[in-house]
Amino acid sequence: MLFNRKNKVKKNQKADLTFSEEQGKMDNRPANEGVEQVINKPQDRRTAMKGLTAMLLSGAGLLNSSCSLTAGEDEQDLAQLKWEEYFKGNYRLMTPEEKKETVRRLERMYELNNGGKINISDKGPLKDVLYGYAFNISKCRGYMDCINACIKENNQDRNSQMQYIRIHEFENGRMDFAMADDNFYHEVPAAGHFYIGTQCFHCDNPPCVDVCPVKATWKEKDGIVVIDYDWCIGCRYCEAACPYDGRRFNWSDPHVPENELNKDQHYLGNRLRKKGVMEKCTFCIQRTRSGANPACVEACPTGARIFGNLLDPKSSIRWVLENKKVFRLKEDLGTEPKFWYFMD
Amino acid sequence: MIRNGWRFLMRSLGPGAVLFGILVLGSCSAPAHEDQGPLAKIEEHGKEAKVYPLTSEPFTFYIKKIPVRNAEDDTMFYIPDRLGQLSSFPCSRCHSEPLDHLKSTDPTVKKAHWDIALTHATEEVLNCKVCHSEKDMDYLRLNNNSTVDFNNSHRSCAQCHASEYKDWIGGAHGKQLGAWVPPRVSATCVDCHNPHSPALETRWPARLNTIKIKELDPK
Repeated sequence: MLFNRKNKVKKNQKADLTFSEEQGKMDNRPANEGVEQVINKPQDRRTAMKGLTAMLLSGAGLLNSSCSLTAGEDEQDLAQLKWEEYFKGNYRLMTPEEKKETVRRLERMYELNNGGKINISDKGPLKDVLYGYAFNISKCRGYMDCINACIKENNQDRNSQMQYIRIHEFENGRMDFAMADDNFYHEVPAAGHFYIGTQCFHCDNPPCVDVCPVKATWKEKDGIVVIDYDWCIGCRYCEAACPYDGRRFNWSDPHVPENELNKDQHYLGNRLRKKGVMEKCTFCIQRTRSGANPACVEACPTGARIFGNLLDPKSSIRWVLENKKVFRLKEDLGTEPKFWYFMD
Repeated sequence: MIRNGWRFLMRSLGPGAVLFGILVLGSCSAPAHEDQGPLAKIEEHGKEAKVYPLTSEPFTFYIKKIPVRNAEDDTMFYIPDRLGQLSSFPCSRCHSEPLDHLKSTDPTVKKAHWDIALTHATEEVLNCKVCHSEKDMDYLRLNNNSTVDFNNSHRSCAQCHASEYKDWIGGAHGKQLGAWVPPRVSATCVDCHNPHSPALETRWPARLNTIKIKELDPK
């Protein structure tokens, strides 16, 4: 029995030596007992951190309890969670278990801070799915319902009027973005004008991803370009690199009224951001990965927005690509956006 | 011979250099670039039909669905039920006798369909009888005088609006409801267009652009 256990420990230590991104998958450590627990404990960064945390907390706790009588368990809990969150890794390199852990920590932190419960998902991409978007410029009438829906769905900062989508008004016959009016203030559609909406195009060859110095943004398997808000350092290189004005920066702490908060969240999507990080359209990753349409598609009253799987020959988006005259913006840059425009 | 050559190489260059050479060669033969764009990926993926572990049902369960067959490739999609939404149906409740008998001569009495103004094409092209069946008022009329029920009103619309109909069947026209996963549920013509006055009206945008809001309210 004892012999067996020792063997297991040895195996595990060997696994630790060949530490790699996939390492956590074989993360089933044996339950050591007694002295063995201390001596044979396989130490990686994470467990070391936990030990450190415990030590720090006991110190802090001692200090706290000597100074105030109200220091509760919740506060300790929160301090522990904050500490662990602070030292977590890049989401892309996390094992499935680590993803679950950070999601659980974030949910618990929200509960401790705000009282309510939220649901953060870590759902991965669906197999054989590549998301694509088509926008009918002869249908869009500039109603801006999509923007309202987007703000609500994605918990965007209300104070700074954060908007992922922009609707540009053009005079008929010319499509020059320098001449477009983004600030129209009249009933829509105006006679002799047409409207084009822009947002993140989820390029297949995204320049924003290339320039990120900390690899906090990347393209997922299903084509969605995402940001790890906890890994982003806010350098705004990506904002400068994007040729389509697709990215937004949080200049201040985002504020979302408690009663308007969308509690169905995704780690890479609409979970609450903080000051000094980038954010942008994620094709509503929290909705689309479970099959629903993005909020803008759902809100559009004219049906100008079409969303679907590019790899499905029977999808509406494929019909549009194969049967309508489509174009993309700045195609010559080679960014390969997955966002097409078309006309009736 | 080969073994001798290998030994010679090892001795003269050292194993490190040989390994380096293999690595360089290996990296040259690797695929040039992964991101060749979505169209290349579509091409590569082929034409096999996709089977999803999800359906649109959880997102469209509140819609009573009517199937529509796409004759082109024999696929199906769904549109919302219309009959259940009609407020004064069946029409035959009143229209059981000829119109002349129903017409009132008293100008002080409010007319039954006072709220319907027909602004659809010109009078020469359209009057009530073009779309509504005179024979049976509970049905719509097709050009060959056959009838079609209100749930399939799109077939009546399609007789004039052929290109819109083609786009609608394909999925380019008409709002897709609920989900992007199949089965597809699309709004039908009359969900967006009032058949008596099909043009959409102008209105104020639901909100304004960020910059405009700041301009209007600088604080």
